Amino acid sequence: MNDKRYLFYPYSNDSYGFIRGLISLNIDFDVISPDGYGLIGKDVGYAINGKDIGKKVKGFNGVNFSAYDAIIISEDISESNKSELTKIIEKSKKNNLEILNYNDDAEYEKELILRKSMKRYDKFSLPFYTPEKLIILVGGIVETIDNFYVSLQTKIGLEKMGYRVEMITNSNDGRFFDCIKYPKEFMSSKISSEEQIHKLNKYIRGIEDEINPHIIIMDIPKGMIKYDKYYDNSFGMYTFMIGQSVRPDYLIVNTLNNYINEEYFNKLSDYFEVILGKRVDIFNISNSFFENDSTVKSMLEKPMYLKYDNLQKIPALFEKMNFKVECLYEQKRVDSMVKELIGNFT
Amino acid sequence: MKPLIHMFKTENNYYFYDVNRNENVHIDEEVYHSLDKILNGEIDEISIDEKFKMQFDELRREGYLSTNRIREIKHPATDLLDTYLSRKMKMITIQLTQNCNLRCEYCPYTENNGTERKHSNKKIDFETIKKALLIFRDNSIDNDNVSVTFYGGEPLLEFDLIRKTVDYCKELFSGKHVKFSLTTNATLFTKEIMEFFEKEKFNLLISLDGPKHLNDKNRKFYNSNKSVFDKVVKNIQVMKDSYKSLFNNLSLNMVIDPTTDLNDYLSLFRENKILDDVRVRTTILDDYTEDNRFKSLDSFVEQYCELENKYSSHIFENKELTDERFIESLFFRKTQDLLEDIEKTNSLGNVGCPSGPCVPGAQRLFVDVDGKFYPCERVSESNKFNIIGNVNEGIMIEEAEKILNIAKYNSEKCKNCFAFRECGFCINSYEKELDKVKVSNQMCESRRNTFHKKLINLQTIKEKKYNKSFRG
Repeated sequence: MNDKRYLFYPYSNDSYGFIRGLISLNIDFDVISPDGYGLIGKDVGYAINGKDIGKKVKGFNGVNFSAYDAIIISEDISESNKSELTKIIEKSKKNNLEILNYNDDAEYEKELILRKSMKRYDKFSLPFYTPEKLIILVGGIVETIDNFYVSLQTKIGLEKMGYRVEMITNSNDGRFFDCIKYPKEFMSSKISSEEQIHKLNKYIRGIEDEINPHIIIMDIPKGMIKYDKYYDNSFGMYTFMIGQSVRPDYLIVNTLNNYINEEYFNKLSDYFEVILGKRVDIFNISNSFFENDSTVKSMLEKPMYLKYDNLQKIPALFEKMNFKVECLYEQKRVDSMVKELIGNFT
Repeated sequence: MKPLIHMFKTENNYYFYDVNRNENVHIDEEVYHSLDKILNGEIDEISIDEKFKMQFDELRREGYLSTNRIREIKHPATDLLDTYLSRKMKMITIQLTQNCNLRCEYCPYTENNGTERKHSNKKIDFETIKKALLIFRDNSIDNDNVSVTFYGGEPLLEFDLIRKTVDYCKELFSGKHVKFSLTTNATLFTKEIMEFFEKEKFNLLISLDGPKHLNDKNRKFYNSNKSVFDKVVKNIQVMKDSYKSLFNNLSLNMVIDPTTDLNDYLSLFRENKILDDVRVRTTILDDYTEDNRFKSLDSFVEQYCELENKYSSHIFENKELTDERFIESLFFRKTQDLLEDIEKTNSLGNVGCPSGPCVPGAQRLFVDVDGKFYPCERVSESNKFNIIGNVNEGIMIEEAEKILNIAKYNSEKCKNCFAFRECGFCINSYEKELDKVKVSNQMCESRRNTFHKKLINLQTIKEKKYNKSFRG
C-alpha cells in the first residue's frame, strides 16, 4: 500500500481527515475536486482554513492519470458530481488504475466475519456483554471532520507504537485504513433503539473474540448533545446508545470554536459522566464554528472553518484545570496525546 | 441611571419587561405605578414609600431592574466577518435588467424622489455575471448547497441570459447542489420558458395581488390596458396542467393594498381553485408616497384586526377558520413569534447589537446590472452607502462591516431602547443622506409599539392558559 501512488476523489473539507491519514502513513497521493467546490489550485489545507500542507488540489482536467497506481473514490459522491465521476472512472480504467470505490454499503470481509459471530451469539441467547479491551470514544459536539481525523490519528499513532487497534466508524472511507463500519442495524430506522444497542454490544463482543485487538476506538456518529432550540443535532442519541452498549475507558470530545470556557467544559463533562459513565479526558478544540440560535437553517447545515492559527494558544489557558484541552491539528500534539493516553493504561 | 425596563399591562394584570433578563415580570398595581413614575422621572426612588423600596430591593436581589446597558454596539459576527465573506456565502441574486413590462402603481422604480433608481433599459452583460458567480463560488466553500436567484426589473425579459447563466452555473458549480430561483410578474411565460424552468427545477415567486379588480388596480402593463391578472392566471393554469413539478415549486407573493377592502382578497382563492395548493406570502403595502396614496383606511385596519382575532381564536382556542390559507399568510409569522415566546437570559452584557442585520454578502449577495454588490435586492441602489463591493474588486470588508454594525449610527437611542433585542432593523430601515445615517423616529416608534403589543399578547395568552394572575 505504501509504495503506490493514489488519487483521491472528490476532495472537500469532509475528506480532510482522510488525507491527513494518508500523510501520517507516508502514502503518496494527489486529490481531485469538482470545480464547484472552489478548491482547485488551492492548498489541500485550505479546505478547512488550515495550514498549507504543500499539496495543491487538482481539477479533473489537470491530472495525468497514467502517473498513478490507484484511485480512491470517496463515499461523498452526490448527484451533482456523478457525471464527473463517470469520466474519472473511465479514465482510471483506461490507465489501469486500481479503483477503490467506497461509495457503497456492502459489508467487507471483517464485517462479514463479525456478522457470523453476532448470529452465533443470538443463537445461544448470550447476555449483555461487558467488553474487556480498552475502549476509546471519540466524538464531536457537532458532527464535523474532526471526529474522523482524531479517531484515525489516534489509531495510527497507537499502531505505530505496536498496538493492535480496531476502529469503528460510520465512514465508508475508513475501510482504506482497515477500519470497520458500525453494524448496519445501528442507526437503522427499521430497528428499535433497544435492538440497535444489543446489536452493537454483540458487535463489540465479536471484535474482541474474532479480531482480538488491544484497543477499540469508536468514532461516534452525529452530534453528541442537543445543540440549541433550533438545531437538535440528533439529540446526541447515538452517543447515548453507544454509551449503553459499552462503557468507555477514555473519552475525547471535539468541540466547536463557539464556546471555549471552563464552566462549559465542566458542564459537558458532568453530562457525559451521566450518559457515558465517563468524564471527558480531552477536549479537542476544533476550528469549526457553528451559528447559535440560528433560525436560518442554511446557517446550521455545516460549520464554517475559522483560521487555524488562532487556536494554538488556547490549550495553555486551561493548563491548571482538571481536564485537558488540546489542539490536535498539529501532528506533534497528536503524537504527544497518544503517548500520554496509553501511558494512563500501562 | 434608571433600570432598563418597559412597563405594560394586560386587561387584568401589570408587568414590566426586563430588557437585561429578557423576561416579563408580574407585579401588583401599586408597584407598577411607582415604577412607572420613577421611569418617567416624576418621582425619585429615594422618595418612594418604604414598602415599595423593599419590593424593589427584592426584585434586584432576584436579578431584575438592572440599569445595565450595552456599552458598545457590535454585531457578534463582526470579528468573523472576513471568514463569513470568504467561505460562507450562501445565495447570490442577479439583477438581469432594470427594465420591466409592467408599471405597478406602488413600484418604487416607477416614481420616486431620487431615493431609488428608476426603470431603464440597462441590462447586465454575461461577463459581469460570470465574474460575480466566480466570486460567489470561491467564497462559498463551507456550504454544500448554494442558491442563485434571478431578479429585475422583470427577469423574463432576459430569458436568454438566464439560460446561459444556468448552463454556466452547471459547469462552475459542478459537485455542488445549486438551487435556482426567480421572482417574476409571470406575464412573459412561454412553454419553452416553463419547460426550461421545470427541467432545471426552478423555484418561482410570482406576484399576484389578489382577485382581478384588486390586482389590476395596481399592477398594469406598461403599454397596454390588458388585464395582468388574466395573463398571470392563464400562465399558472398552463403550469398546473403541463408542468406539474414546476407548479409545485411555485409561491405567490401578494401585496395587499390598505386602501381597499381586505375581505375582497378572500375571493382570489374562493374563485380560483387552481391556487388551492400554492404557497402564499403576503405583505401590506407601506405608504412611502408623498401624496399618501396608500395610506391605510380605517376600515382596512378594522378588517385586519377582525381577521387577526379570528386567526388568534383558531390557533389558541381551536375555533374553526374559513379561508385559512389567505388569513394565515397575513398572521403566520407574527403568531409563530408569539408561540416561540421570549427566551430568558442573565444580562444584555456590555457588547451587543440590536437584532436585525444579517451578515451582508454572506446570507445574501445582490449584484446589479453594473456589477456592484449590495447586501440584498431590497436596499436602494441609488445610495452609495449600500454598496459592499463589485465584481472587479470583490467584497469590501470595511463597507460590509459598516452595514453589519449600522446600529452604531443610532447608538445612543438603541442602547436605551427596550426593544433592543426585538428591533429587526437592518440597513434598509436606515435613512442615509450625506453624513446623516439614522432610523426615523417614526419607524423606531412603530417598532417599539409593535414590541409593546407583542409583550401584551404574550402575557394575555399565558393568562388565558393559566386563567389566573401569576408571576412571569
